[in-house]
Amino acid sequence: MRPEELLPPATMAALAKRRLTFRQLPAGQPGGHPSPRAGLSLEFSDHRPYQPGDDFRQIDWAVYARQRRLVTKVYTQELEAPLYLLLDTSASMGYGQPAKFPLALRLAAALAFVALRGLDRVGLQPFAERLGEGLPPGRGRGHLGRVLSLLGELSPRGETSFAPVSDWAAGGHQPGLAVVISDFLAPTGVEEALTALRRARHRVWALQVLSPQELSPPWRGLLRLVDLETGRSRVVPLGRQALLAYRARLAEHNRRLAEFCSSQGIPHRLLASPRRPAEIVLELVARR
Amino acid sequence: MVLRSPVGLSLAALGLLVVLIYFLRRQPRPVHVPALFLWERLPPGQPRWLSRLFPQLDLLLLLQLAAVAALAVGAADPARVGLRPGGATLLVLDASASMSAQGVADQTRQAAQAVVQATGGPWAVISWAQPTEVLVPLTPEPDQVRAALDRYRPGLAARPPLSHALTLLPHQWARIVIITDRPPSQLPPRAELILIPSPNEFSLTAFAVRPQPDGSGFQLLVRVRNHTDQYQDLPLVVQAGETRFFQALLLPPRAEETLFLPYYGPLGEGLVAELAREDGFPWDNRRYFAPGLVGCRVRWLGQQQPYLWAALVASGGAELALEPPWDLTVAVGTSLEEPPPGPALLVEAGTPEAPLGPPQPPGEWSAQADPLLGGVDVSDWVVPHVRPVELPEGAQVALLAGELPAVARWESAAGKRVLLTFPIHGSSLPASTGFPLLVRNVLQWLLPWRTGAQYVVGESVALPPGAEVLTPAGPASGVWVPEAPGLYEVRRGGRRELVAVNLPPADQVEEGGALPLATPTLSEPVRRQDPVWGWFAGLALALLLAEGLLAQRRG
Repeated sequence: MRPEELLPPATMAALAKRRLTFRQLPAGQPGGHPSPRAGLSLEFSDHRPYQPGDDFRQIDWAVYARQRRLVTKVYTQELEAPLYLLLDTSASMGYGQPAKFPLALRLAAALAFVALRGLDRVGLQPFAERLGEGLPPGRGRGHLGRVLSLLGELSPRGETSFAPVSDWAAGGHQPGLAVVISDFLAPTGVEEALTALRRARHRVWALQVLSPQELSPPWRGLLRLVDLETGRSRVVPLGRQALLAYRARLAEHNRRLAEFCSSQGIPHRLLASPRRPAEIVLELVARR
Repeated sequence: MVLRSPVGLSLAALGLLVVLIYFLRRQPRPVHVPALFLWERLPPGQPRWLSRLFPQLDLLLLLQLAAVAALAVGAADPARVGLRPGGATLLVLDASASMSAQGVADQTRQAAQAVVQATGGPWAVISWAQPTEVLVPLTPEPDQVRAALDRYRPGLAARPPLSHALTLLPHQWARIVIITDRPPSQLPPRAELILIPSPNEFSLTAFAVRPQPDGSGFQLLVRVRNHTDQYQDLPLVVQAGETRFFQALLLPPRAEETLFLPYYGPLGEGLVAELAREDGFPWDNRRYFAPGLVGCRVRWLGQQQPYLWAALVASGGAELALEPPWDLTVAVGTSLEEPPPGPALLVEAGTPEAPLGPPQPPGEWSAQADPLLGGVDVSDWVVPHVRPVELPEGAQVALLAGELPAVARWESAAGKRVLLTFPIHGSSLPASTGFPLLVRNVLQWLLPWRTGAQYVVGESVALPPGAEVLTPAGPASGVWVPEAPGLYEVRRGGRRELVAVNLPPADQVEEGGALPLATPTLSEPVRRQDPVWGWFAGLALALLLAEGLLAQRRG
């Protein structure tokens, strides 16, 4: 996809004044996100009684003149939080009409745009059965171009596996916001990968993208179902009962994922209908 | 609906064969899924056999079975049953020139189809034109009638009297349905008339040429009719060889106007008058005129009559001859002692075979069906008096003034005669368009070929020996029936002459003879079956086509 298709001017205009904000940031380098801890910045927070060892420059002499007691000015600590986009590029992401993959790409581009506008650093890491060639965190207008360029080169292939995500989490990256964009249609490994990200002190978002055909298959009759990724097949006489059973199984899979995310404090969003990426990102930013 | 051949339903057994082949050769349809693990070990459905069978049925199979079922029903010859009014019905379809207007023929066919659809038959169809044609004799089969309606093609000829058409199929008709755009002047009892609206907006109803009485040139007499309810601004173009003359006309709604235009050009190549605007019936927007043949030697007896002479010169190429031989004798306002030899035109002139009485006041004009009055409108004629006459046996009266004959014709041993029992001098005839037309008709009857330069489509022309006319289909000789209006070249003895062929006048008086009585036959409603197997055959084809497209789409 071309950059202007990934991030149309209308999307940029809608997201231009939005910023990513976090309430519980892990300790890190000074940056643009307010932290609940006090620190050095231009944002005044409070006064506290002077204690030996405090910086003389922070004593509020105006208060001393009025009240004859020494108080020190306290400022809000502002920390930097890189945005890590972990994008599932397995073959199953190319499924559906419309396909899930273009939506995932546009979603990643929109999140990267919002983060870079807020002077945050953005890194991109594709994954399928193994980690793909990623982009280390960076900031600035030029970095947005590099993110869009890499997104445009990606295509869905390979099998879905979340083991590479666990490997990435163990890679010692600076804690930040890790957004996992995937269909999460893997029988195992999802919970381990999200737990590994949490252990690495990242804030984690799980964005699950599904197509309408996955939620409600349109076929009937005697079918040979072929797995897009593995090529394995299975003959199924697909009638009403079988369809109901499939839908129940998919709903159970999604419910378990949502419950696990809730227990870990991971925001989980199921994106099941074709929507504009800008709307989704606006909704995500507003909820955080 | 009934099945007229139930044996055809046995074709439904093909369905069993289709099902057998389907289950023997069925292949699961490959479909890609993103996660096969969600489809594994699905719980079985309800244990009912139908619930188990249904997923194994395919839309393709259902389409095939539906096509076989439609085919079987179609093979059983299904028919819709309905009660229709019965009785022999004669459909008389006007095929004269005016029915050739745009869309009129299709409307006529639809009206006839509606009659056939609504009645129980049997039916017969006649194409009413010159010559009248039986499209289908009495038949109980609607399909034959429909095929006959497809053969219905209006021409450019006139239509004969309705009585002539009806005598082609003598029968005790329960109904006679006449479909036309112009109602005939007489209708048989209980005949039904279906009028088709004509898209004809305007027409050139008459075109004649006559010399000016002073010999300085000619006068063009043009009659134009506006059939619409609006004013019509019409450009009239008269073409003589390469020369064209234009004249703008403004016609009031539903009006007919006569124009007298001076003309000083040549007549040798004939004249074409045309309304240079298109309407739904363009054929009558153009009329042709050919100059009369030269060499018609006229013997003149009695009073001088310059208007009559001018019309004779224009229509017949007459030249005055004092010595025999004469081609025509014209007697005006005199009483002849002896019958003149050869053809004679008698204008208020008595002869021993038809002596005239004293003048009497004229009564109301009453035109009869006669070739002398073709295209002639007598409504504006005013004459000072008419004379009673004792006509010989066999004489035909073309025009009556009250009870007295005004125009009559007969054939005697000495030759053909046309008698006008009123004077031209002091009458309005010289100023009317009908006068040169009357003279032309008179000459055409008296001298069939020598002066017959004007003909109508569909009427046979007896060409003189050695003459041939050049038509688009090749040269014709003997008896020639013109099929289209135009100027035609005639070659005779190394000479080249022109004849003009025009459409028959729309207001031609056409009735003659007694109309046969249609005796209404009270008949019971007919239980009629309309076959509908074609619908089922079409449905089967459509289903097979859909099945093929679906199979191709699935690969």
